[in-house]
Amino acid sequence: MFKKVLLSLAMIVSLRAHAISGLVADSDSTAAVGLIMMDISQIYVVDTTVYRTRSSRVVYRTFRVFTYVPLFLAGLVVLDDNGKMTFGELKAQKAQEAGITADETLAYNEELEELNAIKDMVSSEVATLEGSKEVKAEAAKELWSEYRDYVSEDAFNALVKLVRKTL
Amino acid sequence: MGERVKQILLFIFLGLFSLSATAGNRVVMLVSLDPETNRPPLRFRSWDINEKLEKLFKRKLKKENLELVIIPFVRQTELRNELLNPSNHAVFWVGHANRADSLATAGMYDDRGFNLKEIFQEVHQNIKFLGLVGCRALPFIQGLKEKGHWDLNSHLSFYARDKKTDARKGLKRAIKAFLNFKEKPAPVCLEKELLPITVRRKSDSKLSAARILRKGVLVGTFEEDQDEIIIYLPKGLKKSEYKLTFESGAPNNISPELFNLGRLEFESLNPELSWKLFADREGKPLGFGAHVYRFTGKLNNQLITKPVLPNQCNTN
Repeated sequence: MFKKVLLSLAMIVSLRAHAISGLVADSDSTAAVGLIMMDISQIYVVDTTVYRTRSSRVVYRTFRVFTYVPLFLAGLVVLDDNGKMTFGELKAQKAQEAGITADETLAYNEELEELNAIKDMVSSEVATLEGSKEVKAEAAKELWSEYRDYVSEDAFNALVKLVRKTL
Repeated sequence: MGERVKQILLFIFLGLFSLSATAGNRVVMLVSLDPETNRPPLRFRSWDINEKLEKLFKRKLKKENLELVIIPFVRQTELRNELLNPSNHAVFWVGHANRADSLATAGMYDDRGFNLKEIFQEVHQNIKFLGLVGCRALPFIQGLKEKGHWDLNSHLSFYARDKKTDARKGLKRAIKAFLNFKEKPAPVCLEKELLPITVRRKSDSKLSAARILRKGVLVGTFEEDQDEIIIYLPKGLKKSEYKLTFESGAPNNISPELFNLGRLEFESLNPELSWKLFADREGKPLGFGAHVYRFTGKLNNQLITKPVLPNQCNTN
């Protein structure tokens, strides 16, 4: 119950910040949701909010998304575009920083194409949804939960750790 | 009689001269911009970026002895054909682009937003100059070089910048760089022993242009509605390195009805080589705009190979 209240509170706080894409709580797959939601046409910042209870300390991260303002230069046709996010090869140093084991690193690099395929699928399905960013984030989370079985556990764990570290 | 022979010789000489004046002088400008979305503010609807670029291209190069070719709305097939056209001396590309950063990969986009960047991995050796007019295209070229995609193009001069680029200003600068570049000798091309694989694709509806990549390396392209190609893979790799990605370059926010990859089937002189589509339990491919084919075959030292000349050197 308390967690629900906190979540609602965090959402209200975030909504006051005008834009919110997702909330990272304690689910493994939710960590990836925020990243998937991060359309590269948008600039995001991460707010960390700490709530203290009598017995513990709960941290909620809020992703505030600002729509990227297109650059209109009078008379110019600027040949810029927004890239597509792609998971790249994981190097040993970055893996170590993110707490990813050697086996997980190996699995991640070997299943990179599959991870990107799933990411594209989640991203495209979410893009077709109507509704708020929160609704889309929730849908993305469900899709990741559904598709995670198609890659090895090690590869998925590496992805989640990497996303957490990146964000 | 002697006079007649002289006339014939003169005719042949002039004929050869005129031929040599145009051979290898084909300069192509490839444009892939949608005029509707690339019109500066406060302009009439008749303002067309493609027309502006065409006029500029012709005006700047009219005094040179060049065969000028302009192709608008370029997509994968046209880009591939022109980058591997042995008659081309120089190629200019004008389109949207972005550099890679911590979250996004680099991209060179067509007018629909399809990423064509992998197509630039193979450039024919006869092309001596490549002008990439797009935002922050320089790191993209540096990436191609670092990854070894342009090892056979070390003589290639290029124009690109690591800045936001205006189409017309960028083209002017690229043409200036082209008019001042000096030709360098091309590296030697050698045949390689590779594994030939026949790839067929099937679908009930119209097929889109797409390409096959192996660990990010371009190994083959399908034109629209083309249903069979031969790809060549190196031997001696690990199993996971034979995994293939079949992609259209489509952005994730496009309707899936706007492109169709079809399903691939593989046939080889080596029957032990096989691939399986990465799909869900119902057999539906997992992925959007790109499908993954996992290698399921067996590798041994007895695989039959074939000597193949790289596309960059092929004169056919």
